[in-house]
Amino acid sequence: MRPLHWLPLAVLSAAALCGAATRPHYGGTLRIEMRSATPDSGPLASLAFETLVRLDASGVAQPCLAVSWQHDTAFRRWQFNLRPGVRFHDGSPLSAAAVVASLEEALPGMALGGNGETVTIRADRPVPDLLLVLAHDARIMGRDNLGTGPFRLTAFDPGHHAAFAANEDYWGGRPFLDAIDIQLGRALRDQFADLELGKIDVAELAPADVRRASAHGRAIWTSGAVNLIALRCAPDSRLCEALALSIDRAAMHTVLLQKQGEITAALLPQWISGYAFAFPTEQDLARARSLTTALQAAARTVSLSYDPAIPASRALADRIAVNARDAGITVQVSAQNAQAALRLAEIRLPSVSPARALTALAAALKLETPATAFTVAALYDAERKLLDGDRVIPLFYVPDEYGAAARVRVYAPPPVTRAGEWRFENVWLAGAAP
Amino acid sequence: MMVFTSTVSPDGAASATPCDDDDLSPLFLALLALDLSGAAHDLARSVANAVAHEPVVLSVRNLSTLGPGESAEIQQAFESELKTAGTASAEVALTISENLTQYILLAEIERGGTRQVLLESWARSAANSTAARPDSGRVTLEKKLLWEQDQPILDAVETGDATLVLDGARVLLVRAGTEQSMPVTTGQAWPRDLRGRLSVNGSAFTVWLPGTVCRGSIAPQLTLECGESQDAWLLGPAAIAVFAPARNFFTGHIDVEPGGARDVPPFYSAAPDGDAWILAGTDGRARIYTHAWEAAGNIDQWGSDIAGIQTPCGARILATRPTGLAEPDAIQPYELIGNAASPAGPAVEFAGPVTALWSAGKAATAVSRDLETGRYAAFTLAPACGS
Repeated sequence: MRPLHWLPLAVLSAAALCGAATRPHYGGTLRIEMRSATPDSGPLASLAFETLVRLDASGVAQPCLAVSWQHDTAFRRWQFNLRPGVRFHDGSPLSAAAVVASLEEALPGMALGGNGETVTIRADRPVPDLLLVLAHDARIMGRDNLGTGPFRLTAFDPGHHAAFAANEDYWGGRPFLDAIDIQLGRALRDQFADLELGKIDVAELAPADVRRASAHGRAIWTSGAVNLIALRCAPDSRLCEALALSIDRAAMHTVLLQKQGEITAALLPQWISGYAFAFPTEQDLARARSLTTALQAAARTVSLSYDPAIPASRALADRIAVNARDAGITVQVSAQNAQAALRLAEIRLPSVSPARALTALAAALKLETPATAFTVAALYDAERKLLDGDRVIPLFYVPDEYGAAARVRVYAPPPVTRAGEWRFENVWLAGAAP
Repeated sequence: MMVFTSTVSPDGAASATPCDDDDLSPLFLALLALDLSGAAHDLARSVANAVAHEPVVLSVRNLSTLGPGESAEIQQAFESELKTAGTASAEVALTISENLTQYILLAEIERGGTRQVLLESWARSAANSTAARPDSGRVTLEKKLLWEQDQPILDAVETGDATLVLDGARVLLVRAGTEQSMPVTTGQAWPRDLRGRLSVNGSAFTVWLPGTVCRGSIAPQLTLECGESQDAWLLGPAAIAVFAPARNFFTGHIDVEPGGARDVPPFYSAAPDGDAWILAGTDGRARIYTHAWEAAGNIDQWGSDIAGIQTPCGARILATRPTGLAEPDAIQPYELIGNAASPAGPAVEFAGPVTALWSAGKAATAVSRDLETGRYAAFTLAPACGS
């Protein structure tokens, strides 16, 4: 008889625990700290703005503000059918006209047309990678630069603070969070301390802190490799080549970056190009030394500038100097020295379209515009030509990495996409009151 | 394995409709593999040329999401094209990689202190193939003689270091200066203007002739078995069509993946262009069909033989001229722009009429009868981008 009495209580108890553990909560404010950000670019933009399509985890375009699309066999003429019922944050409906106005900047040289809920894009030459461009480079904005995304910007103080509130009428369903509060201008060290003290929920992580944060029970959110760390080299090309050959990327990656990200000698990351591994990254001190001995003594001394805001930048610069010394080159390291011949730079991947990304990276690094490439082989050739002469020495591609407090939960991962966009509409806070 | 059968997002969450293997014919599955195999064979041939067909040391690594089966298939393709026995003159490191839209084969060749990188790629999936298609551009066709003989050649295929030649009486294998042949046996009389097609997959091959299908192998020695069959002929990527058993044309009953079976007017030849098709009708008119098999336009200035090829600068259609059998012919590459065909490069001239034109994926095979000698010659037409 006794088991019959106990059984209902046990079942009830298990059901209560199960419900508490699995059902996400609505409500609460997610507190974040960052080094810098603007609401219309980078991760913050993905809170408020959306695109016609978005890429899934496999890189396949999925519907977002467009529910369907088609193109002609030449990939010159595209037609997108807009999602009905979508509204901008001021309540105005998403229209073809607004989409066309938004796309004009991202798609220069293309003829755009809007009619009802249909947008057409015509190009003089085939644009087979248009979906990649639309998924990453072409945010849709309405009047006053308002978006359609799951959160709307409620306050922005450049360099200090940004605040977002849930979009109650979001077409994809209201986010779990009520609000997101972001403190800007916070050094990585301070962010980590605040995360440890429970003052914030999400912090950016330096590569050296990832393991520690994980050991302390923080969830680690990681994007794909989206930040290129490279050395810009202005002096004699033989010196640049010698310098490039002298660098021991593997040791830096293991020790200074704690194996976060990937070693590279290419401008595009492996996941975008598919061929980055074909650019040799190995140190060759013997060859570096032979190049250095051909230089005049005065040409063997150069200055290297680094930006302290780049994670591990001082340590990387120092290690480059040590490697260079082994090749007979004297490198004087200093922070933010405008006169320096060598500059350690961090550049964010500008597009997920390989050709557009290469063009934009070349522009950012003050290299010549690469030849238009539509095949992988042509793109490889264009990238190889850009890197001839070693005016830019790619070193690493590192991801965006965040530590999240224990109360932060994710209903449908990932919270951060491969391209570094935030998908915080699926983030919820344990203990938050609806 | 899931296969995507649509390249356009329908309403709702999915942009492509998956279907199970069970829905697909073995032929279609075999054709899916041709993309991978084609890329592997093409790159292997390029590598073989780069190392002057000397023995190499081959290493393979897989950085992609392709499985061990596909990886092994790629390795096999290389081993069939490259000499790996003997004193190596070069090291070839083959890497299977991928980006968001394409699989990539990259060969790093170390030879005599120099390093060379060669690449080939193919679309990761049907859903992604739209984003992976390269651009327009002029195509130059490089004409290379494969074989010449007195009897009419129906088709010829270069496979590794061998050439397979089909005529109405035999299949001929030419390898390292030696010839082997097997007779095509049939209980029926061939129709006038006999046509036939060869398709090679590894060491196996299939021959389609009117009312007859033969299957054989080129290794370890040439074999061939023929039988009466109304099996549909291979038409192009993921497409088969019924050939009229005692005629020289296709009946118009075709089966294309995705899309299924269709009936269109009878035609002589066909060329895919992306997800569209062009069929050279028996009435002298080439018809353009959309991916939904809706008639989209006509082209009147082409001959009876057309073929679709994948070039480094996109899909192109090769078409003969509407010349008579006593006139020299030419084959010109075209690009389909909207519903019109635009010349995409210079025409390749022949010493007589073109009697056969078949697609071999990234190249085509053309057969011409020399008006002076009366002999038949088979050529590969390999495309190159640029002028």
